[in-house]
Amino acid sequence: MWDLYINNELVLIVEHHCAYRWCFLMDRVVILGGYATSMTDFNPKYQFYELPYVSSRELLTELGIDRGELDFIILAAYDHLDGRMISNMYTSMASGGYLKYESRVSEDSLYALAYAYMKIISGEADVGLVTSYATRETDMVYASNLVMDPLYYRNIAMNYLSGLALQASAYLSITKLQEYSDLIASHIVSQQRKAAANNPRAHLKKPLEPSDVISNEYIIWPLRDGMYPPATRGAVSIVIASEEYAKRIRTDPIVYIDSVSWCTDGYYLGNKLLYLIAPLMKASRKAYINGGIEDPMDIDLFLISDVTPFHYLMQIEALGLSPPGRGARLLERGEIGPSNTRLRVNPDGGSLCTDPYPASGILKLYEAYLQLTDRAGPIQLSDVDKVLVHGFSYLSGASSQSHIVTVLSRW
Amino acid sequence: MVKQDVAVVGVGLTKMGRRYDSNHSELAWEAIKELFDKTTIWIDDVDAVVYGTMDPFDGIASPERWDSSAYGIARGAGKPLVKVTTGGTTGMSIALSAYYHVASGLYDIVLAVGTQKVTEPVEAQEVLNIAVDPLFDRHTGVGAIAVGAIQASAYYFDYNKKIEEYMAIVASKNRLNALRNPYSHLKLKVTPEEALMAPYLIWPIKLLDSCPSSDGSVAVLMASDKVARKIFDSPAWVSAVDYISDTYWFCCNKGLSFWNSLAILARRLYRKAGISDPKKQIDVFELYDAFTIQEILEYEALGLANKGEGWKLLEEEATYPYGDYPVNPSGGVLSTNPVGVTGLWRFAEAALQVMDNAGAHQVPNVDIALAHAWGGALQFHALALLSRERKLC
Repeated sequence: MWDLYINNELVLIVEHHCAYRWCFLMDRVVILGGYATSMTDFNPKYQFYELPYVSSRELLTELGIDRGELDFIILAAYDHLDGRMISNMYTSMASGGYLKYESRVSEDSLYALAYAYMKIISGEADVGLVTSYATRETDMVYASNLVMDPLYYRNIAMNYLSGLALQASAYLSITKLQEYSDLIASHIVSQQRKAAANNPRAHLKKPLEPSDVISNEYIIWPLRDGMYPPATRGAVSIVIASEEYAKRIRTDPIVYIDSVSWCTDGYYLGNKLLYLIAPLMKASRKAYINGGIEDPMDIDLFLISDVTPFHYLMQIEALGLSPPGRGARLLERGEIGPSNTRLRVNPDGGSLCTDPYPASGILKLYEAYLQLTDRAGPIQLSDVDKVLVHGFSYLSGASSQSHIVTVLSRW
Repeated sequence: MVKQDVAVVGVGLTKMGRRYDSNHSELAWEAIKELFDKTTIWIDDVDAVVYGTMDPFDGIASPERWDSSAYGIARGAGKPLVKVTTGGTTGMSIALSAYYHVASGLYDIVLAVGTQKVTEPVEAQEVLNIAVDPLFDRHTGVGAIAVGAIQASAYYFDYNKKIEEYMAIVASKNRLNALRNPYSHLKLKVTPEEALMAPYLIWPIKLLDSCPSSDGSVAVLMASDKVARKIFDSPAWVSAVDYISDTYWFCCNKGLSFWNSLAILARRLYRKAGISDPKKQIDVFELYDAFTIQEILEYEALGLANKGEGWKLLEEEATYPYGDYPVNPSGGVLSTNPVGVTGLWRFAEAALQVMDNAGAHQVPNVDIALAHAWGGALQFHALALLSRERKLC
């Protein structure tokens, strides 16, 4: 791992009591199962709350768990993406929340998992459902402009794409890779598209060559069309439980949540180094310590929110898998890729191919669950015992404010 | 039993009302600064932040990101922050999420904060109308007042044809209570007779039966048993919390003249906390009374009165600050309603009562206080029980 100083301050301050906390958090939490609907383009045929109904209903049926057994429901959704206020008025009951404890986060869905995790390790609950969905009824560019403050950023048309592009250009500038931007980005997009072509659960399955990507128009430099996530419609549900509950009802492999950690940094672009994803650095180091991981290289698989090919590199670096600014060398040496590489990242095709935001995080969690239980089908990798899943609330805030990391392991 | 006991060790409030003088971030900072000015720690000591609001009222989506400097997370690499939003219960959902941050053992000191600027959009009722179903309900123009009126008319036909007179007593009682609360929005000295003479908004809800739209921010600091007493000598312990979600549709099995879902939740909470007689054991109630009829329905659902007899408590003056079951000594939602933050204010007021810090509206000898919020289409409820003693049972 590489630690980082900003203004002579150690940014990766992992609290001294973390090791103590690891001893303290002995109760374990497991993923009992997951279900994802098919990931598609926008489909106006269905009401938005039909999506979480399908994923929740199918999952409970598959697991043989009666709705009455659930202690709680945690949702992840945004009102301004659903096009109506308090959208959980509908999705709560559609997800089985009738007369249940229910809450909703407006973040990437891994934050809903974190809430569920806290409910269970607090000792107040045994089993709960986490559900998220993307209907794509609202344009993300417009929705993310509404997030910007009305005084400074909204008027200059800041949105999630321009925020990501600013980070990408800062990264290319500091690493002096501007002239290679197309080369690097097209390589990453192409490798992810080829991976997704083998994934029956992916949205964009058409493989692309680097030359196809480079021939696309620029959206915002350095991002060309195809270098940011598609607008995916779909829903994902996960059932999470205490180890005791899981062992009572299951005999087949169980996936443990070893740790969950999250972090948000400041809003104003001038207050942070855009090319470093400091909150991800901080969140991941805490997740490593709480998850008993001494070296992140020991993790067998990384499922990251690669919302642009440049974020793929920045996030690999922030996770401590490469020194800052050197991520592209891993690509050059062929050490990183979806499979058959030293570092295995996003064998499902990642966010560049499937992105039902804000369900993206638990979709990756579901893919991790499938890998850890040897059920990932054509994209199953060998020897997967420990997986890191990364979620990114990229709709909330300016340029990469909120990141969450969870580490899962096989029983 | 939770992994760590959780206590409220500090509260910060802004003056509520039409706060054209402050933007969203400034309002958040006002509450947070007040909180930390009164405690022994500073914002840098906070381990994590839980935030909530109802964004469409604010005219900005996810305003917590803009406000992040106010929460002290903009320095260095930042801090854990999560945003929750569940309609009218959002404020209590913030408190409940912060509670689980600490109860889980993951964090020791958590800041629960909510900021709402309801005066930003054109009209709150028009914004609320976008919550209802666009196919079946939206064209009717339904907003919050209509759902309050549906409850009041159901109660009128099911239980009491004179219910408007008792609603007027609630309107007067809570407005008078608000006169003693320096943070309240409306400062109205009204008699029940005057409340009864107010113009109708939607029958049987009159102007003074309804809450205002307020701007404001509330910050609550929660801490684990390991550090709570180091921060505040006599914290308010969070004895139990719970939440319930009912159906959206009015045609289904949803009580209108009796709040079934709240009654179910209250029994759950009492069982969890070991409360066998809420009338005797709970000393003060901070309830979400957006409309006067709702306070009466809440008396019944919480077990303070029999079904259809909540109005009798008003005849006996039992829910006045000097009565047997003081309800909303702060002035309640009828006097101040920063919608997405209101639940957190109920929680904060209950904590202040237990901490003996409520000022002029302090009820004497409060050992146990109950906080409540409702939201959605009369479908969500959240409850929290705060106590002077760390363990109730």
